[in-house]
Amino acid sequence: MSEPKKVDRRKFIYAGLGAVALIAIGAAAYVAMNPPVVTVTTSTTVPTTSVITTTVPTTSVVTTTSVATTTVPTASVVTTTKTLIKEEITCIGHSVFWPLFGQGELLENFAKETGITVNYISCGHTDLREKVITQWLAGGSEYDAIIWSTTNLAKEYTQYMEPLDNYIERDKKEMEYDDIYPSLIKIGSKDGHVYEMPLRTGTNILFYRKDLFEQYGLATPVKTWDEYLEVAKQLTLDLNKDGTPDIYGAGVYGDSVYAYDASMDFIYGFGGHVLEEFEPGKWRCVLNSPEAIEGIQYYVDLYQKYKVCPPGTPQTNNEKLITAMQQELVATAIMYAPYAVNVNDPSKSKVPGKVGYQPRPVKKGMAFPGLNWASCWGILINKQSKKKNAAWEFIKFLTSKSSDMYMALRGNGPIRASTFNSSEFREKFGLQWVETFSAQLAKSVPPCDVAGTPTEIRDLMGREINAAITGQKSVKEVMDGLTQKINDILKARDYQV
Amino acid sequence: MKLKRVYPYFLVSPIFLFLVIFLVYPTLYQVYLSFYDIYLLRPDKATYVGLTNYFKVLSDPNVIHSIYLTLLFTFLTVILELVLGLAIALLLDRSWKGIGILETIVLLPFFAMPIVSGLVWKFLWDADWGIINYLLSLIFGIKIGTLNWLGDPNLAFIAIVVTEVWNHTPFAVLVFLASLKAIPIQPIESAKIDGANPIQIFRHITLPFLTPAILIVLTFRTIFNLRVFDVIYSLTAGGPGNATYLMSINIYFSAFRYYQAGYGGALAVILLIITLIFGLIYFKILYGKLEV
Repeated sequence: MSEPKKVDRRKFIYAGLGAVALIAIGAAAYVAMNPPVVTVTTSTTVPTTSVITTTVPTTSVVTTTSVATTTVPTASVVTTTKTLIKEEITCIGHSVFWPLFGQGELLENFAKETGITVNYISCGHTDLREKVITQWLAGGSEYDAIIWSTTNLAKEYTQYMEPLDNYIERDKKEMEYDDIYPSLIKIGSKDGHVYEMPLRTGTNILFYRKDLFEQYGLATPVKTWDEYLEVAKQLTLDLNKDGTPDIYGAGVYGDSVYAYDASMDFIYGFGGHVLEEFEPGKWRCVLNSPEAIEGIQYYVDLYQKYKVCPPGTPQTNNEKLITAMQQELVATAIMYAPYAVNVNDPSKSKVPGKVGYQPRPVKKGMAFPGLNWASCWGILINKQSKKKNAAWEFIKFLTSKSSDMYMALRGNGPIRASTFNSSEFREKFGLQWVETFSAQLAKSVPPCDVAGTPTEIRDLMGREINAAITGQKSVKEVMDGLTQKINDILKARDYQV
Repeated sequence: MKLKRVYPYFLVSPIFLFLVIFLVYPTLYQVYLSFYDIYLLRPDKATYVGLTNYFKVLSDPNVIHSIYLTLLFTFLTVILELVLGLAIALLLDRSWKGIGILETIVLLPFFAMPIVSGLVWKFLWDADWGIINYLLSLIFGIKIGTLNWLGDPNLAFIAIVVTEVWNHTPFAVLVFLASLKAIPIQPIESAKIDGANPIQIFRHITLPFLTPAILIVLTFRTIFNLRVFDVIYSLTAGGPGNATYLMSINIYFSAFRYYQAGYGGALAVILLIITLIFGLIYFKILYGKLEV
């Protein structure tokens, strides 16, 4: 047995003091390495009469607050003090944006321009929603800016979002606001307030293999679903004659999340709707209408009855459908238009330059291109954020002309008319894609007919329609069940009286 | 004297406090929530509904289906983990050269996080590009795409069972191996001298010694598999349709995706009761055995 070691009190105190001294030296070094604030003065014309006071906290070790006050008289030229401050904000958004930001290059450019560093948290669609909502419910201010699908602009969520009207009014001219599509601004608005500035737009179009269409003498555009089925049958090809197709004629989403997106193509494409406003402000589900049932039956039959879709269709999400097109597993795909950049990426795709585009088919007798859903992403400021001004600077930067073009050239659906009309954009993606995209977009509405219905509707539809695809339930059973459940949700959430 | 009596309670008070804050309070609060109709996005509209959530839960065919799937999943995985774990442990209980490396390899899946296992297996099970279908096509000539592992409701259930068994069989191996190494050599040698064959030795000596270990594996794996979540969520998220919609997934979706805290709470309490029933039965048997 050894004697227990005695603690020398003096040594203990010395060690403690030493540790404190080390921390102090470290803090001093940190302060020395972070230069003081730089101030730049710019002139802007702001045609409003409101007085906006902005408080911009700094992040230096010695806590100071630099206050920039902007008094805005009636339509006169005023001097706005723009302060470059070393500040850090956190933005959370979908993983699709990271490559659009040039793997972070765009954020670095923003930091150089404004001094504001952005920590970008990238996650998938459902993860993003869950993280953000959980944080909102907890009253946290962790995220300053949030990239948010306009599908989720429900009235339950807007209480956690900062209305952007005053910011827009202040900086309208500077940000060339009128160049942004008003319809996209509308999608990000609710109850007369703008909550989200658009960042990405898109809708589903039909991608097809031009070479195969040419080889098999198939004409485009494929306008009706009947024609599409014939094309899909002809292009389901067993090239090595082993009894299993090597190329499937139709590629569609099908997993329990994306089945919702795909279902919109078929419901709208057959003249159906999800919800119907039977009185102003009162909605009911109409998924059991003959048109909606016919659309979903056609969708299910593509996979089950006609077997023109790959076996993995019930798990097909966006990534899997892109890969199926890239790897020649499917000859056509009804897919989100901005994915053209992925399909044509020569480092990953076997078919760059071989893909053609057209609006999604419709039921015979309906106008072509037909009504479709628009899926948009916007960016908003968290109401709880303590760095709202920095977050707004970031929003202004991301929605600026140059950023819109930067992201569009990397495959983003642009939000500005100037980007859409630019020769640079058109040359990069080809006139056929641009025209198809804009033609389909012009006929698109927010999903579910009304922007921001409860999240359960999307999840419920995805899961139930996936059950129909896998044959667990009949289409009629699914659509009747969905109608009942969605009406119950609408009732419980005061969307319907 | 009084201080001496209080002192032990003082010493255990930090852990007691910890348990109250992080275990007892949330559990009781969960039970409390289950009596309310709370939509978390509008908590101001919460109303007391008594046992309504429980009636709703137990009359929902989807919940009954979830409970059935959970029990079936638990039964299959626990049995497979137990049998495979025991078999592997018996194989590894040798003094062969290189057995240490083999042990490490066998135990490796246990160190993989379930969420990572789920994501990796998701690729392996893929109908169009998965390596499992590729290997089956090479070995048995089954055409790629014929077996739609995650798209077919029955196959998807098999897929989650296999993935879970792969992930947690090493736990059983670890427990059994430790028990096997602790078995005294004398009874086995005596049995051998008396002419007992290996099966008789296993039946009459090894197995009785392993009984506490078997009960420990049964207890732990049953409790954990009843509330398994991560591997299922990352692999199928309850799909296709509701083919793998286990109770844990149902609770998660209700509470954290649909924000129905009361309904989700009632589901959680029901799962807690099921787990407690199993736990109590096992503990009773286990402690009975240990006392002997």
